[in-house]
Amino acid sequence: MLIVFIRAILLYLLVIFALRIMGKRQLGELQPTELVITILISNIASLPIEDTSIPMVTGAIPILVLVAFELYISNISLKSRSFRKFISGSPVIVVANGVINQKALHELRFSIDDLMESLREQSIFDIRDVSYAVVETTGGVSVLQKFDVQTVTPQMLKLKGEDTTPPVVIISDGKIVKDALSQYEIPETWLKATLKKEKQSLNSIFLMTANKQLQYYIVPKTSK
Amino acid sequence: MKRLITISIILISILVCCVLGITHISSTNHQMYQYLDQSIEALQSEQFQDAHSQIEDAQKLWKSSGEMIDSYVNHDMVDTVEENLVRLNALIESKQTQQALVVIETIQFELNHIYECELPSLKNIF
Repeated sequence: MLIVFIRAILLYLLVIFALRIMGKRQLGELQPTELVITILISNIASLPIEDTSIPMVTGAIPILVLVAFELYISNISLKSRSFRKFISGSPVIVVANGVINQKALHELRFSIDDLMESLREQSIFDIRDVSYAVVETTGGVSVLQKFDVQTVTPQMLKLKGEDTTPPVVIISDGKIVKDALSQYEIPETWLKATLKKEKQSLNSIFLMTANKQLQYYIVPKTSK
Repeated sequence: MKRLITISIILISILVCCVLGITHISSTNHQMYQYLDQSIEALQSEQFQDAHSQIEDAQKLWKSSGEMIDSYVNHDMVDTVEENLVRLNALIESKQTQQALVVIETIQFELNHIYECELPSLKNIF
């Protein structure tokens, strides 16, 4: 029993290490090869946990080998367009100029229900609003709406404004995030002065964000 | 690039360890066969004490090498050899020559099987 416990911890750490080495991807945006690797890794990792007569390396080695080959393939894909196309395929335009390309849908085995569902996920309920729709290599659908139904932008209204930097978390659960402060060159003295001005102590803050323009937002801790 | 180098080093290390593992099994088996062959000769000439000491040496060797082999070979296969060595010792002590010889042959087969299972042959891969 203890063996199962220890193996579970070790393999969990190994899988975390493997996923960190592979890099950041949201689960929903995995390429086909990455999805295969993720599923395989999870299945392989469970084998030595379930059966203690199997040596642990029987799980560890395949995981590391799969991660290695995934890295090699992704690096080759970065450098070679034709290889990338071979491995991941190409995006396919399924709606062009408001006209559905039925042949493309058929080749992708993408039903009209799938297309409508993908549009609804992007809050588009009327296919007539779609100018272009592209099925990406991840299976997701990217949409360009017709001009009449696009969200109004400041550019359309010829409004002028300033670009701001996105806020970063500078205090998280009572602790200063020094990396975030140095990212925007925010002096710690300003932070302390601001806390004093707001009559807050460091430990009383749940969340504080700030941007380069020193616009900040504070969420104090609530009593539990 | 750093990740690529790290994982390449890990991969090469794994390959080297796999080759060393096979070499280790081979050298352990070679020594085990020597002990077993000598015990066969001893049994055939009814020198049970001699056979007994050969098997004890084989057990010690398997116990020390077996710990390492256990880390990359199915534990059941390693345990089976150990069980048969214990059985063999008991048979030699009770002077049951024929049965002891059968068990020796079984152990030799199992040792060879463990080695063959680790080789990257077509049979093992597919």
